[in-house]
Amino acid sequence: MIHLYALLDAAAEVPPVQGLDDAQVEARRVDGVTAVVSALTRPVEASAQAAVRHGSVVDAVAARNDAVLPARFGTAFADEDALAAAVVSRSDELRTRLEHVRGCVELGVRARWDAEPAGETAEPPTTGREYLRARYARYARARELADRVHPPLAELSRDTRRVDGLATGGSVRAAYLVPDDAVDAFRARVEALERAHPGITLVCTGPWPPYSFATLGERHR
Amino acid sequence: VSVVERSPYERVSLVELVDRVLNSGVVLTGDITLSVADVDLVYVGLRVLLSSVATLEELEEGR
Repeated sequence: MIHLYALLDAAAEVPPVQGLDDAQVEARRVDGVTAVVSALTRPVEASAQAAVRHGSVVDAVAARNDAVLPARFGTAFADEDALAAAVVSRSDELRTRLEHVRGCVELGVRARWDAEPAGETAEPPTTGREYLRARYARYARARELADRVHPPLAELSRDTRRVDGLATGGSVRAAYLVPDDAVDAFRARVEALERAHPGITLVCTGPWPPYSFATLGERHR
Repeated sequence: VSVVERSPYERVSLVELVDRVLNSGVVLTGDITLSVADVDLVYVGLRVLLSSVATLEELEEGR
């Protein structure tokens, strides 16, 4: 089997690192796209260590290339032909996506209120109406949080993804695709937002390779 | 993988990393070999990993 770590453009440089099961990571060039792969003698191991190893290969590749599409962990092909066929079938979209993320990193932001709203800690709702009211209040607070935090950060980003939040009404998580030269300004703005809004805590993580922006459109075979 | 040396800040990053590699990234065509149960297994492993890091830190603080 062949495990896929990331997809790069044709001129990409693949560093000599070791991947899952310490196998050598290699480049396969197909239709204007470079696939970063390693051979696997067994199915992908479902462990946190293996997921972290996958991530460190993607990091090593991202350190040397300015356009990287990380592959989801667990992406494997029966043989070289299956890999080539899969890349060819999406190569136009892959090249477009590579241009979209070129020169950018992903920054993650988690936002939450420091305290629950008044009444939230009272008795759990006993009627359907109370339940819905509490649920709506949580939604409204998450909405308010997102409205304060998201637009100023989106301004500095090429693209954004709301990871979750509004549906659960808790903390809000989002991912931002930020040009390399705007990362410092982005972090400074996160700090400024936190100062400007007492009661809100913001956590900024990254830079990450652009995992959240590597997803292709849905396609059914 | 020397995960035990990570600081609390890096622990947050570890969770964020595993979330990303499992739930986002390119999927080409029917090529995902991990089942839903496998994904759960990775999260269980992550929790064990994080709790062992926490235990280690407590032990070190108690020295």
